[in-house]
Amino acid sequence: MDLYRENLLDHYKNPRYFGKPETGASLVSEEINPSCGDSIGVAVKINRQQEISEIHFWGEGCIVSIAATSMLIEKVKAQKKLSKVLSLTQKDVFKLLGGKEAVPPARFTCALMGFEALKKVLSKVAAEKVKR
Amino acid sequence: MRDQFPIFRTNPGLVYLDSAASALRPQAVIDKEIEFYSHYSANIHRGVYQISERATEEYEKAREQVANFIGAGHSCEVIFVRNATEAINLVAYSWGRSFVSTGDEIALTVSEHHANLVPWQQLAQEVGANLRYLDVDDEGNLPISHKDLQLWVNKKTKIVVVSHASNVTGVINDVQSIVSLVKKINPKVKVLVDGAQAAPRMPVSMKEIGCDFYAMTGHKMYGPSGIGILWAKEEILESMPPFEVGGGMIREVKLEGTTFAPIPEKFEAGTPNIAGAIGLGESVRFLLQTGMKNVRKHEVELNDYALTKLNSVKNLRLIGPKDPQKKTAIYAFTLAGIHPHDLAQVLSMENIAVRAGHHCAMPLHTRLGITATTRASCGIYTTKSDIDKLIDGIEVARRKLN
Ligand SMILES: Cc1ncc(COP(=O)(O)O)c(C=O)c1O
Repeated sequence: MDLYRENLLDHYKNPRYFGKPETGASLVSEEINPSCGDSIGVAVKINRQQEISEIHFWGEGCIVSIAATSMLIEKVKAQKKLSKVLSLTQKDVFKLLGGKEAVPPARFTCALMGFEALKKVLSKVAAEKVKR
Repeated sequence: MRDQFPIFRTNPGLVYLDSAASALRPQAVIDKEIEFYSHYSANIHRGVYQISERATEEYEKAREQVANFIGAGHSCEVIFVRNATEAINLVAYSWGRSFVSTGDEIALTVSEHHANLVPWQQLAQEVGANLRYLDVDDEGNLPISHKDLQLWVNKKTKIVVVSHASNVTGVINDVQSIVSLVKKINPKVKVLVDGAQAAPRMPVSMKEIGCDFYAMTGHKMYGPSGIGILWAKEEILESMPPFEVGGGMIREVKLEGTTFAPIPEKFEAGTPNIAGAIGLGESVRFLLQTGMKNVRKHEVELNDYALTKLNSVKNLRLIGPKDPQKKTAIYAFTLAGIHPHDLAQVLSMENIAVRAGHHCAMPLHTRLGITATTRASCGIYTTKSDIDKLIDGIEVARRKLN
């Protein structure tokens, strides 16, 4: 098992779509890891076509949490369609990391922090839609 | 020493630096539990047949062994519980809910393990008492001059709670002085000492410390998990209501009401962890045979070596005192640019077991301005070569992750 593959380290050192968005129109959610106090935030903007037009993440974390989130966000950006993104599962996150076997169980929380933050922010999207 | 720990045979090459979380078990302790299960695995107390009598005898012998190990006045002051957490909760519930009320103060420190912090926060919330925290300095030392303690303890203080040794910085608190000083300020105050990290690492004596409660946990003392000890002064235990009620702790039950058994049974409701207690008796016998002075001496030698080594690692910030005499053999540190979880992970690939996170001491980490640390902690089997391997492992991690 090599969790710290080149690809992963690259995403850690150069996280994609990293940084807090400046505009206030995004929906935002944050997730913390209770075992180390790390945190990851995700912000999204949805357009009229029900697509994710903008997505960003930020936070403080280990290689696993930052890289997993960066890879996930890259995938979300490529998928674009909200309906598709909503059907992403934990399994997809592990796939990005080289399979669930590559991630030691004690690190599942790290691996899934970004995913949980994304899920939270997407549930806000759903709530907004109901309001409208 | 190492050949007494079978885990080193079943895990060749293991560098175990997580003894502050749980110590490994010597063969003698494992054998003792097997002896119970294979020779006299009956319930204790009320059995009139031979194997139950034998089990009762061994269980009570373990209590005597523990009492002897900690220099307790009488073995009835030793209560078997599940772990240190339960020992502290027992006091917070049973003593706390009887003797602490609105407007009273509870004095605690920012360096406590959550096990010695959350039960007091809950108690304070429930009865309307106030918490007063003693701050540490940047090394994690508590300021304990009379003047410092006067700001911490006053006539309203009902109980002072403090750890004997920190599970993060390794700081050994001079609990004997703390007890005598706070009792000068307020003679009625009770003192609870969390001895989870001290009991396995240095000689401890209830008579010398002079505290009222002392909490310990078996799995850090080379004993089984699921067994711990609350020691408390006899007259205080007498004054406290039971923690849990049911079988095993009664004198007489009538439909109208119940009278309770004398201590220690009053605090041991239900069938206890008999094998665990007997195993723990063996582990303290093992520690006494090794000699607690020798255990402490070994820790100071490891400190001498490890502190110098670790301090020479580039970008490594060691938490805790620099003086090898002032601390236990626990080394928590941060490494610039590498997250503790990642470091621990790479070390694990090198067969080195350390722990990463806040080690159940979030307020202390916050106070020291860090979110998480990597912690390497030693036991009686730890060698200087283990420290060398740790240092090498850190360099492997640096190469791999940077
Ligand atoms: C200082 C301290 N107190 C209390 C505890 C709690 O011990 P246990 O989890 O066995 O109840 C620990 C163990 O992590 C500790 O290090």
